[in-house]
Amino acid sequence: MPNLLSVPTAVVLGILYVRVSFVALLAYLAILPFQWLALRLYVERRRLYTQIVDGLVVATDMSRPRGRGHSHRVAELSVAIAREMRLSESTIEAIQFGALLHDVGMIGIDDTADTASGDWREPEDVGFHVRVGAAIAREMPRKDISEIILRHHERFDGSGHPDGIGGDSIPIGARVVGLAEIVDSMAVGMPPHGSASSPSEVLDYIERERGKTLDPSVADAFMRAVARKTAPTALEWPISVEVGGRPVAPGAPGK
Amino acid sequence: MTTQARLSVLRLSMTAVAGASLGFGLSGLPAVDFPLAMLIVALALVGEWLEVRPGPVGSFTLRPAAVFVGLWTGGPALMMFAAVVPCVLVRVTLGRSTLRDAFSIAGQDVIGFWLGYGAFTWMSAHLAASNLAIWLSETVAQLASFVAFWCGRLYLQAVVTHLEESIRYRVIWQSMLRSAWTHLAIQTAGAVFLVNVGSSFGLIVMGLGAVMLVEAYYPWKLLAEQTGILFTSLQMMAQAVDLKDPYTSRHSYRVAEYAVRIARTIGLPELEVDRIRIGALMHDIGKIGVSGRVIRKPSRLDDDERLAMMRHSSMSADVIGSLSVLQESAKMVRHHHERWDGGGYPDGLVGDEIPLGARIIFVADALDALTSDRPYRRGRTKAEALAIIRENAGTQFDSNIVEALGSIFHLL
Repeated sequence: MPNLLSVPTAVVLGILYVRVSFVALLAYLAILPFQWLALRLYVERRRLYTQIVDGLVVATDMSRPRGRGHSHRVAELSVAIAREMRLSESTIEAIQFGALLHDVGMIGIDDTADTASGDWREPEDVGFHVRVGAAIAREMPRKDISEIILRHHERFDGSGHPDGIGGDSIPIGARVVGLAEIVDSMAVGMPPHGSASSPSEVLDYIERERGKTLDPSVADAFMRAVARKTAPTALEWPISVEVGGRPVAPGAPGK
Repeated sequence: MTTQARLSVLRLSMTAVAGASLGFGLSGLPAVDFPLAMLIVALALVGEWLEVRPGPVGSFTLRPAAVFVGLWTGGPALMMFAAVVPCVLVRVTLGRSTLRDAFSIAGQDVIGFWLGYGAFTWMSAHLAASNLAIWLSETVAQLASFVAFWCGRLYLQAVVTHLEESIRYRVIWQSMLRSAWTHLAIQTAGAVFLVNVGSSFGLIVMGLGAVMLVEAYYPWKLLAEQTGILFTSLQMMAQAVDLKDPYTSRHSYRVAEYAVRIARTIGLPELEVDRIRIGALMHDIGKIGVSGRVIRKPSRLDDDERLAMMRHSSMSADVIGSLSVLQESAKMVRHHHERWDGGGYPDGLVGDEIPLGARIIFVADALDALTSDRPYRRGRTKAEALAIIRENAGTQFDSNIVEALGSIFHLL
C-alpha cells in the first residue's frame, strides 16, 4: 500500500517544484522526522509484542514433558498445510496464532502429577485446557483465533473433545491445527503417545485415520506438504511420499 | 448533579447539536459543487478511519482537515455534512461506537467546528477591511478558524475525559498538549496546504494532495493500532497466569483498574500512570513458575510453599525486566509486596524507599484479594475491605495511598 500512495505525493511535489519553487519541497521534508519517529515506535512495539507472545508460548511449552519448541513447530506445520490448501491470508494468519497459542491453557495444568494417570487426555483435562486457552485468546481482537484453540481437539467423526462436534462444524483452522498437533506430538513422543514415532509410523497413522478422525482434505494437504518438503517438523521425512497411490515430486508449493 | 448525570446531559446536548448541524448541512448541500463535495466527503471518510493516539489521553482523526477544507472551499453546509456523516458512518461500520455514541462524538467536534466557522467569518470580514495581501489574509483567516476549532474541541474533550475517568484537568491539559501539539500543527498545516493547492492547481491536484496527506498520516495509525495490540498481548499474558487458579480470573485486570484510579487521584502524570497500569497488569506474572497445585491450594501453605509463592514478585520483575521498555514497571512489580514498616519482601524496603507505583499496586492488589471469593471464604464487600485496609494503614500500607483509595472508593 505505501508504494501506491507515494505516487500522488511525487506528482504533487513535482508540480510544486516546477510551478512554485524549490522552497515548497523543503516544507515537505520537515514532516519526515515525524514519520521516522512513528515508524521507529511502531517497530519497537511490534518487537515487544512478538517477545511477549513468544514468552507466553515458551512458558506454555515448558510446562509439558518434551514440549520444547512444540508450539512453534505446530505453527509452522499448520501454516504449511494451510498454504497447500490455498486458504486466505487472513485465515492463515489466524491459524498461525491459533497454532502458536493452542496449548496456552496448559499453563493451568502444569505437573502431570496433578492428574492420577498423568494422561492429559482425560476428558476433563482436555476440556479444561482448551476452554482456558480460548478464554485467554479472547483478549485478542480476533474471534477466529480463540475458536481454533477451543476446537483443536475435536475430531472429524465427532469423537473429539470437549463437545464432540464433527465434520464441517469444526472450523477449518481447528482441523488444520488439530492434525499438525498430532503429527508433532507423535514425532517427539509427547504424552499420550508413549515414545517418539518414526516418519513411516506417523504417515501410516494419517493414512489410517484419513476420513475417520481426520478431515481427508487436510490429511491430503499434509501429505502434499511433506512430499514437497515444505512441512517442517522434528522428523526426517522419506524422499518420496505417495498421495492417493501416486508419488508426488518435491518442490515449492503453489501459492 | 452527579458525575453520571453531568455526563449524560453533556452527551445529550452534543448529540442534539450534531443532529441539528446535520440537518443544516443536508439543507445546504445541493447548492455545493458536486465533485468538490465528493472529494471532501471521501477525504473525511478516510480521515475518520485514520484514528491516531499521540498520547495517553485523547484520540484524533484526520477528519477536521477535510471538514475545514470543505468550509474554505464549499461553505458551512458542506462543512457540517462532512463533519457528521463520515464520523457516524465510519465509527458505526467499524464497530468503534454505537450509533448514539457516534453522534455524541460527532457533536463534540461539531461544536468546535461552529466556533471555527464563526472565527473564519469574523476574521475574513475583519481582514477584508485591512491592507493585507489577499493570500495572506485568507491564510490568516484559515489558521484562525482551525485554532478556534482546536480550542473548542480540546476543551470539550478535556471535560468529557475528566468526567469519565476522574483525571484532574491540569493533568489532562498537560498530557494532551504535550503529546498532541505536533499532530495538531501538522494537520492544520496540511489543511491550509490542501486548500492552497486546490485554488492554484484545481480540484484534481487537490485530490492528489489529499492522498499525500493520508499517506503522511498512515504510519501514525499503524502505531496506534500496534500499541493497542501490544496492550492486548500483555492482558493476555496476565489472564493466562490468572487462570492458573479459576478464582483469580481477571484479577490482574481489576488490580490495574484500581491502581490507575488511585494514581490519577494522587495527580500523577499520565506517563507514570501508564507505567503503573502495566506494572499492575503484570504483577503476578511470576506465578507462571509456581506450581498450580500451590496456587490453587485452599488451605494454609506450609513453609516451602510459602517461600515458592514469595518468590513470585521477584520472578515477575525478572520476566518484565528483560523487556527494556518496561524497566520502570519491573521495579514496581519487584517491590509490590514490600510493607511500609519494612517487614515485606523481597528486599525489606521501608517507607519512601519503596517505589510509589509499588505501594499503589500493593493496595490495589489487597483490595481485589479481599473482595474476591475463595474456596475457603466468600469475598468481603468493598466497604469491609476498605476498613481492613485502613486498619493496616501506616504499618502495611502507605497512609496517603489508603486515603486516596478512600476518596475514590465510590467510583469503584
